[in-house]
Amino acid sequence: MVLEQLQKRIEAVKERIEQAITHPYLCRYMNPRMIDEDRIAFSLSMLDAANIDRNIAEDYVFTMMLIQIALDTHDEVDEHEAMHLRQLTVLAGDLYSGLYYQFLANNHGMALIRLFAEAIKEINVQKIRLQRGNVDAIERFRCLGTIESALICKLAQYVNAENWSEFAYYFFSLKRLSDENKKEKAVADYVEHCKRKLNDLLHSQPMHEDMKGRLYHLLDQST
Amino acid sequence: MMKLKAMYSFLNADLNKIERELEASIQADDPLLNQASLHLLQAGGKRIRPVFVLLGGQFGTYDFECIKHVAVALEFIHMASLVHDDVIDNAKLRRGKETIQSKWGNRFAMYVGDYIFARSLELMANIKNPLAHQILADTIVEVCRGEIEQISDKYRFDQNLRRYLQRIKRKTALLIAASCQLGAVVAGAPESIHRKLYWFGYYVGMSFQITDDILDFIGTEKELGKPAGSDLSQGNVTLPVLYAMEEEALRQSIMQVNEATTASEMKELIERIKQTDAIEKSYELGERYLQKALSILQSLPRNRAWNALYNIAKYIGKRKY
Repeated sequence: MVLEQLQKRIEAVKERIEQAITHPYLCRYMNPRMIDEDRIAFSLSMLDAANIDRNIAEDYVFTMMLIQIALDTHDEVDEHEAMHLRQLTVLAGDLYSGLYYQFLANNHGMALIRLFAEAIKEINVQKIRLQRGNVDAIERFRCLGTIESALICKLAQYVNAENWSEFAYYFFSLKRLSDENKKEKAVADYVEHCKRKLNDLLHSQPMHEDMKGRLYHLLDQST
Repeated sequence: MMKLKAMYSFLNADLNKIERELEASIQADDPLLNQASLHLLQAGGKRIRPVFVLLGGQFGTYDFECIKHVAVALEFIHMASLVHDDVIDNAKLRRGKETIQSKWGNRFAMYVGDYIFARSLELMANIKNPLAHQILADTIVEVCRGEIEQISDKYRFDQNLRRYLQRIKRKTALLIAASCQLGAVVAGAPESIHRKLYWFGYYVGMSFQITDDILDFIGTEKELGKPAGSDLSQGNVTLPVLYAMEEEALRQSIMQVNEATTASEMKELIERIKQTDAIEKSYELGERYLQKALSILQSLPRNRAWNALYNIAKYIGKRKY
């Protein structure tokens, strides 16, 4: 029952995001944006555990996901050789950034504006570090962990659920690295490290069954 | 003609502080990001948005320590959009300096733009008045929609004047309008005042962009920092083009412009456009917007900011580059 409920809420947040980012001209030329369900599930679990009102929690997750999609869209800029698509990719990301600010501004989310802005700054600093390339494996994993979890960590800070930050860091690091070549020793070692951390944290964290299922799936997938 | 800076010399001390705030506020935990940000700041610019914010603030209770956040935030938003615009246009030079995308690549430029935009919102978070955030957020979204519209309208020669005006409103006028209004809002000016400042900024912005579009035809490469007629060669249908298209023969030639049009073909076309009354008619429309701005100004209380706004409006209508 609870599992069904969470999935319904995830779908509802996804639908809201899809509606918000729909733009007739962008839709005509760009592929639909990927919306990471795990991120929504994780955030809703965290906010429920922090006793945040359901509607408010969904608002927070909706806003955070708009930022995530904006940043992810800008990561794709170099993937498009065609000038027109590259131009639209830049502008789509900018539009989604504007939309998250508009939502918070209209819902008096001043404190969240600051926290999310801090996260975006941090994420872009780490992306620049990664892009420069002169980082060792450990530093690279740290950068990736921050890039993947900074927004959720700021949300955790906002709702006084900082105990979820470490969990978010390792969960999304593992998710990011699960696609990488684990034959490389440094990656394989770090994946094992993330899994150990997540196994330790799993028992100290009350969470929805659906979220647990996603976590087990990720742990299995990374083996 | 009076120099732009001399029109608001009473703000000099505060504008110098804004310049220092810009430098201090953009500092990041990464040397390359710092280098790029400084590169942007040193490329200069008229800082017209901070000027409008500070002038708008003079119509309320002017508190520099509060209003500076808005002034710096608006300049950062403008800078971030320029960095991304250079990726969109694949521009190699801006104000005679190499662009971020040319120097460090597209991806890096995207990250720098996103970083600066986030920094601007972080500064805005110092402002507790929700109306200020609503005005700015609505402006940002409209500006983005306008930029998408500009892309969708490229090489579309069947568009009308209304479409052009809507586009330049979103491209330029809204941010200038918001600058004027936000200064007053943050300074606690009554709605009757900050609404008027919005419309003043809006009309000035419209006039400013029309002048910009005219200068793209009549300016020299040295003055413009890019070849004359660049807008048309990139498929941007601006006011002089719309007016020139009223002449049937020219209309047919303009409609042939596409990405493959050569520089010499373009040069010839620009000369033909300049020989029509398109430039003159464009100036007339720009002047009409300017008069609207000045008319709004008449209903605002007289103070030294009023004089500055009056002179700036006049300057914008007559600027040569």
